[in-house]
Amino acid sequence: MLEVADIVAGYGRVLAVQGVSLSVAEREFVALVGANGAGKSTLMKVLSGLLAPKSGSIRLGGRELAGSGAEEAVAAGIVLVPEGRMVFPRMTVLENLLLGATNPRARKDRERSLERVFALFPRLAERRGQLARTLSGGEQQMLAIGRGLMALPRILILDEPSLGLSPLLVQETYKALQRLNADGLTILLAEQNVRLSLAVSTRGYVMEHGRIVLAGASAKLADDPATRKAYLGL
Amino acid sequence: MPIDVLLQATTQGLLMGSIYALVALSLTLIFAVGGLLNFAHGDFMVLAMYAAFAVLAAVGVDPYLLAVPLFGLFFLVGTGLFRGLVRPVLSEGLLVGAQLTLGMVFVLQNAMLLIFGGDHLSVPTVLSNRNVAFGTVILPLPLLVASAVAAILSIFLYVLLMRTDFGRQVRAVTQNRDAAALMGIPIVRVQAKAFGLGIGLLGLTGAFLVAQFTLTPSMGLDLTLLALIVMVFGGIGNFLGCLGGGLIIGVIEGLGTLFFGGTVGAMAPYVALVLVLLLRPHGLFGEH
Amino acid sequence: MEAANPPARDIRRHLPGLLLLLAAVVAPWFMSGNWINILILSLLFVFLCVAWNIVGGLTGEFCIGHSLFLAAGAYTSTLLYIHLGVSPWIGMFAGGAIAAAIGMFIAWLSFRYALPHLSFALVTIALAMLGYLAISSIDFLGASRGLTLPVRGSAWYYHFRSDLAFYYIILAHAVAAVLLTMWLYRSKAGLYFRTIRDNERAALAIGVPSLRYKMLAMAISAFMTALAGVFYAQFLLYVEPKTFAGLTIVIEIILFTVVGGTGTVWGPVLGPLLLVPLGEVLRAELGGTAPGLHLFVYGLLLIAVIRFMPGGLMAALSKLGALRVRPSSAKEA
Ligand SMILES: Nc1ncnc2c1ncn2[C@@H]1O[C@H](COP(=O)(O)OP(=O)(O)OP(=O)(O)O)[C@@H](O)[C@H]1O
Ligand SMILES: [Mg+2]
Repeated sequence: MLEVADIVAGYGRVLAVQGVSLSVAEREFVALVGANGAGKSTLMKVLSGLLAPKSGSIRLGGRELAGSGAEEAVAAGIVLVPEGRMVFPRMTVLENLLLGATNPRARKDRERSLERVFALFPRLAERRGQLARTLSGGEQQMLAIGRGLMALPRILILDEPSLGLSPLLVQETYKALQRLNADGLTILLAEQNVRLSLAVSTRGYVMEHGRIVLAGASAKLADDPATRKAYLGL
Repeated sequence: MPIDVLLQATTQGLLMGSIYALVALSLTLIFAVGGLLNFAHGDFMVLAMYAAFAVLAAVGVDPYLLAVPLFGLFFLVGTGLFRGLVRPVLSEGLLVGAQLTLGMVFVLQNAMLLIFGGDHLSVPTVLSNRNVAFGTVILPLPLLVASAVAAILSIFLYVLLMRTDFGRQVRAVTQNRDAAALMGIPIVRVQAKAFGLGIGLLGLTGAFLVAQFTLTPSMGLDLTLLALIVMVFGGIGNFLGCLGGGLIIGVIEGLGTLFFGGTVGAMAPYVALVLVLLLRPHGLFGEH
Repeated sequence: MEAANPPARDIRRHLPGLLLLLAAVVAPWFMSGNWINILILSLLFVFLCVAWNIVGGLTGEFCIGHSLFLAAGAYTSTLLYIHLGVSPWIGMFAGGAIAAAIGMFIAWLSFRYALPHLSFALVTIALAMLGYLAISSIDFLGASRGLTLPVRGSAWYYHFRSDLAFYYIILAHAVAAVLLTMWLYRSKAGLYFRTIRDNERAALAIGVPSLRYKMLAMAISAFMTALAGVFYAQFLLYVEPKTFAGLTIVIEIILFTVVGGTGTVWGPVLGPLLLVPLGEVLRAELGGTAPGLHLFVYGLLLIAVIRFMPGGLMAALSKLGALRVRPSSAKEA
């Protein structure tokens, strides 16, 4: 469904992504793992339209999206839950969620999406009137994911959702993602946390210095001596 | 000091304050959505007043009837200015934007000077020279109408910003531009609309205020400064704070004039501004 | 690094400046009185812009309060002269000292309360307005009517029969100011100023005494601006709040500097040298029928420069220069 080919991107003269190709099929759960500074977040920004690539192509359902901006990407169904969550701090939980459903396709189903998100994260329903910046880290992550779901994504991209969460909360977050995937949502997950993300995903890519260096079924990758040595410290 | 004099000054201060609040709200809207400090803000309002005067002089239409057309016209001017001039320089930072609007100050003030001359001008409306008495407090009718309109518009703007999709989008852009983009919010369109709304409100307000002021082409900067003071008082970017700040400044000015005469009255808001900036850098009602 | 430059290259680098100076020295011999007046005004603004640039460009503080310093110079020297008969040549140091003290106080305030750029600009604008309102209402200072300077008619009292003397005095001011900024750019102080501008927190972290250098920059700039005030008062033979303490002149200073190129040595020279004569010609040609036209044109030019020529004329010139120089320097390499 999502076909990414030869993406080159960076900031000024720094090329953080140097020719990345990957693909995600319908209903798949794909992990992109790599160490600090590998270029994962940069790639996610390019996919979501925040950052225009220097070259390369991004296709979703055959439509070319590279460089056409975030509004287009969201309208087409690529939705990013960004690194650091980026909830709107001085707005309530409810307002944050409503903003998720800005694109016209999602706007129509806003009320129904809201019910679904509240069913998935009952904590958010309890705190719907609370300002987002007063939420705990875990709640903010739920909010960021919920806000992403409000956009009715065809593919949900998450960048480092485990960042700053306690192991227990990470487990919970990942379980929620697995449930969503089981219900038919396509997911691309960028993570430093190699062990966990390979455990929940079906397929994985390993990124290093702006390039994909390994790819394959997650279970295989987790067993691969190279991955184990480099990322799992085994 | 007899109590009714105090009451008179306070009431008049509150009425002026609601006008300041509206001007500051639109200034804040423009600042919040794009990070532009608009030094030409007051000048746009003065431009609207002169436009109202010109139409009155030419075809005899009362300024109050021009409020809505002027809103539309100024809205278009605002969006045009945003797309053509402001947006391209926004990324250069706050100071460059401020300098740009200082240029606009010169252009607007002197365009008005060129067209209308430098003489003081009072514009008669249907309400001129009428007063209303509330007990011992006597209020000029134009001021009463102007501040009532300002209060209504302030509330309208507040509701628009806090309760509608558009308002939420404006606030989203204000709070985190990247996150707003990720929501699929058309950033530039929202900014241009907010900018147009800010300038448009000045057009509208100008029509309602024209009876309240003696016009000179250079009076805009003082209005801008007052609005800036209110904005800072309210906590920059805090819309509710603007409403409170406007009323406070109006009263400070009114009572300052009453107790110490015109000069001190005029100076009081600036003293207050410096104190607030130093002691409450995020505004009287600011957060953090 | 400077010393390593061969003298020939050094001269070539300074050639445009030297030529400009030569032209400035001989120019009034070929000019009518009216044009000399225009040049005097231009040089006054060169001096003012160079002074403002030390704060606005070098340390990057957007100060809108320079009218305070101008007024401090003009009013101090004028009062000393009127009431005590002190020569403005001496009075100007008193005015300069007062201005420098005000400037250092503002810099201290800004540092003490860690004012962000926007707040700093607002504080300075508020102080300027306060100064203006105060001067306009204090009778001892002539209130809004201002004060007229009695003419004592001798050089000792800063009076000259011909405008030529005024011309060379302000030229000397301007040249000294440019030399000072050239020196500042190379000195340790200048390096500190720019470090503070680019990242104050980092500057503090690497041990730049930020407060001291901010106060220094402000003091220098304020002192110079006060001298300009003294000169302007002597030249006009009156002081009044609109001209000396109003915001218009500050906006003009900022505008000329930005058009020329903020933060460069030559930008604040180039800006007023082009714009003031343009404005004055417009005013002379159309001033009677179209008051304010020159300011209108200034405003348009400023907007155009910011929109299409960010960095001002100097940036545009150096881009042009780079286009021409690059091929030859590539050959050298
Ligand atoms: N805004 C930016 N400007 C300049 N360079 C940047 C910027 N953002 C990231 N980089 C650089 O690009 C490279 C890749 O960064 P990126 O954030 O994509 O890595 P990452 O894989 O997401 O790392 P992490 O796991 O730490 O989040 C890094 O060298 C980083 O320093
Ligand atoms: Mg990252």
